[in-house]
Amino acid sequence: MFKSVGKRVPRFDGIGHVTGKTVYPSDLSMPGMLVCKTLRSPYHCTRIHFIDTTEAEKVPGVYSVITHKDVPHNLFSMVPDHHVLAEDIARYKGQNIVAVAAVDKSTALKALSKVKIEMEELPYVIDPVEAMKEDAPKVRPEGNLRVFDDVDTVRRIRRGDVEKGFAEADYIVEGEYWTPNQEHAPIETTASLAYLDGNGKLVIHSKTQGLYFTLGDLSNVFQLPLNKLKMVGATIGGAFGGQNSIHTDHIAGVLALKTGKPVKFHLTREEEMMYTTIRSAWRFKIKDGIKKDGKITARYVDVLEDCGAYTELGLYALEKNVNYIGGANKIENLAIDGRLVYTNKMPSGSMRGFGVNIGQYAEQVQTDKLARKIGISPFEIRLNNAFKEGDENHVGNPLVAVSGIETLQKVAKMAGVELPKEYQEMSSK
Amino acid sequence: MIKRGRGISSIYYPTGFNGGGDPDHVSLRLKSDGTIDMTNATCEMGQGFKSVACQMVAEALGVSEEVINIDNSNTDTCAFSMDTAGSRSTYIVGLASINAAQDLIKQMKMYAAAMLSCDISELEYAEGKVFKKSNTSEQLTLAEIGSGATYSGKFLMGHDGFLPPVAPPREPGTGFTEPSRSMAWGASVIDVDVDTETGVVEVVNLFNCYDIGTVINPLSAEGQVDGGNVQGIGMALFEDLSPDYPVSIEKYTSDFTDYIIPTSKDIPLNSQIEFFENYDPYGPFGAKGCGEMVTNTQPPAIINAIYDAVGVWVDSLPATPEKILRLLADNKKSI
Amino acid sequence: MSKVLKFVLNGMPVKVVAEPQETLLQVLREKLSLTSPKCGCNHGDCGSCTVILNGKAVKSCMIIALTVEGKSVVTVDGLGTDGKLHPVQQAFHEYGAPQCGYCTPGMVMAATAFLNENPNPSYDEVKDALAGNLCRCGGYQKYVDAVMAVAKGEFGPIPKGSDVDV
Repeated sequence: MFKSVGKRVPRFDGIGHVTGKTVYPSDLSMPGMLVCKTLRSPYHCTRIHFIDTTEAEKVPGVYSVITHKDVPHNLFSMVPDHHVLAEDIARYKGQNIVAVAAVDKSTALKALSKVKIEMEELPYVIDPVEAMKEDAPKVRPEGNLRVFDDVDTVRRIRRGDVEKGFAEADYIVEGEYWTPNQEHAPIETTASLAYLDGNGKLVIHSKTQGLYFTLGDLSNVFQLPLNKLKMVGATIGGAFGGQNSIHTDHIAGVLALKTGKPVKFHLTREEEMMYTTIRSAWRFKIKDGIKKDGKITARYVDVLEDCGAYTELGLYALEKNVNYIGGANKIENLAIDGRLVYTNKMPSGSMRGFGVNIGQYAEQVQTDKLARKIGISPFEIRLNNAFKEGDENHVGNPLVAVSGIETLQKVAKMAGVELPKEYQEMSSK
Repeated sequence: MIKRGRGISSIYYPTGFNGGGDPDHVSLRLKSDGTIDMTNATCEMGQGFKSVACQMVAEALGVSEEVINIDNSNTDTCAFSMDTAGSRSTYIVGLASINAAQDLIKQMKMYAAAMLSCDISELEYAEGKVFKKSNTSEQLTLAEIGSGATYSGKFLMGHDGFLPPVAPPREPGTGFTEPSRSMAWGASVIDVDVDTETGVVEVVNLFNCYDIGTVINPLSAEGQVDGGNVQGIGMALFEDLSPDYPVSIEKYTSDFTDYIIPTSKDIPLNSQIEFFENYDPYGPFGAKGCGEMVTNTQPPAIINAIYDAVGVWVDSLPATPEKILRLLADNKKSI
Repeated sequence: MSKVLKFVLNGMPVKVVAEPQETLLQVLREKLSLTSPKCGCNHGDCGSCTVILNGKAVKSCMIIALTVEGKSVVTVDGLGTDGKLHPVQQAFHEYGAPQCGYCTPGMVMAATAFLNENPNPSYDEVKDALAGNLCRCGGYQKYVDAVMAVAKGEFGPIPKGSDVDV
């Protein structure tokens, strides 16, 4: 049917990879290139009273020392509430406060040690459950709970009548699940090389996974039109969602604009692990009603996302999560309450499976608990409740090319599981 | 004692941004020797985008993928891409490629109509050639069109985009909306060995069946699944930046000595992948998204297998040896 | 105090000024502009900086540069002969093992040094041999399969001599 589609074509850039000739952003250097290092918040929540960079600027080999006052527009990210360099309060440990461009790393670090900074540790909150309480330390000025649609701190999904569904059930099964803070851990750490070309255009070689995604955000940070800013890259040493957030491009860019020289900002492994966006922690409480024959009559899910100190991509993750946390099962009575809580931690970035797979872990383990409760096989409960062609999902999304049943049947066969005949004959059609 | 257990999982996963509205553009420039330069700024971060993009353009033009060269390197010269995320690239760039290829074919026909002194409606395009329907021997190849057009000052570049439909505003009371037209589906069966003395879990057999629609490039799709297995195992068993969370994050991992990601020794002893290619009516050549879903089936299946093996539910990831041993000890006490 | 360091890099003599605290990886990347050995952690954890030093695979971020005086260092740039890929490189490419490719140069060097020592390994021995090289894309399966294929001779004989051994 197809000629090129379906072929095992080797990787377009594969020869470059096996010969070591592929060039990644972290490999780049330029004549006269400066090195960037930053001073980061030492506390989970820090009030910054006063910064004096005079002595730092005097260190021989230092070209520029910048604070938030040097950033043309200091807000960035998908939900632009994150600061390029912290202003009066740094809301998580490791947040960038001051940046230096110097001839080499040791000079940059020496300059940072000369920055005079007066700061104070503020009360902080790490536990998202604690952060929801009224007397919790305030992570963000607008409150610790995200407000949806300007009215409600709960993002709701409602389908059918859960109370009726629970009443119809033979059993009620409840579970609580947590997923941890996780790191993308690409083997190449984040790197930027920013410079002004001969005509004053700012060029940034970036490890971003979205050249244009980042371009739009950065043009705002630098207050530059799109013909004065060029992003270069698109061959990077792993991302897994972590490079949807800007970690170095903004600071390197401001320093290049300031100094007129090429500036490289390349994170160490420690910085990458400790201070960049993460897959943040989530908690799910699931309550299910199930009949003895294996039909799920109702499901209620309480979703809690620990978003960290800035929204970054955490809002998008919650939106996506509530759309899919019901699972690949037809459930007519379903209610979901999602909450996004701010805590004094690294902001929530995107990570492969973004917003969905953490919920799928909870929901699929819960499904096994249901099967064990009523004594049917884990295949049967899934096949009995599976979506079929033309169904709509829990938020009214029409489903086409549905294969829940078929993938289960096939994987059973691969694993040598002989399903009862009625299940072998089932179909999504 | 080593105890074996089996767990399964079954999921679906959307293709593209939540709620749609995430466009991409593609340009296809015909060069004087008949090769084609494609641009689109999707990032190559290991998923195999470039090969897949060339294959889809080649398919749309009925030529070999070796005719296509792709540049994704920068925002000055490469066509727009919204982002490389959300399992969107194959699907959306593919659909944009099909549209751009149609545009290039139209332009080539217009040029050929002038060269062959006929009306454009008399011409057809197939497999790298424009020819007269009435007399197929009157034809022009890509190279002939490319060189003729280039040196007569005609710029033949097909270009177009694709926009996944924007979801209707969600109903405030119910949250109803249409987040994605196309869904991928997947299921896993996983066998684990749990050492009840050490709490160590080892993945023994891993069977995956995924419906990612038409598989554009099986080699890179398998690579995605292999990687999904490894990352899924990492998420299920090892990875935790702050083991004392939510009480505190003072203990925080800062390197690969403390933050454990899987190595070659952690891959399953036996791993099998099959694709159930359920043609997606909206996708390019029937394809759906792949990248993210293939790392999502493993964690629940592993946790379910641990219960099957030793009778404890691991309700917080990851299932570290310490956690398993504590759960086993609690279990013993309660019996 | 900086010192002039002389060693053999990919079969060619090189002379470079190195500081006592500098690692071989720093000298290769920053002084000799050879960026095929990657710096993924600088802690000896990830293996992306693996090179072959006097026939043995080492993590170049863990080697003090001045200690390689007079020795032979081979990076992935030194593999392959007459414009042909080394069998390990060819196998990795054809098996589709590299994904993002950042770990690949280190993985090639680890596999090459291993096969020189153990030309007929078992599957488990290959998994052990690559365990010091992290691949976050998780392409281990195809890397291990490709090394087994090279060991079975599917990609021709492994060239012996100056490009790998000293």
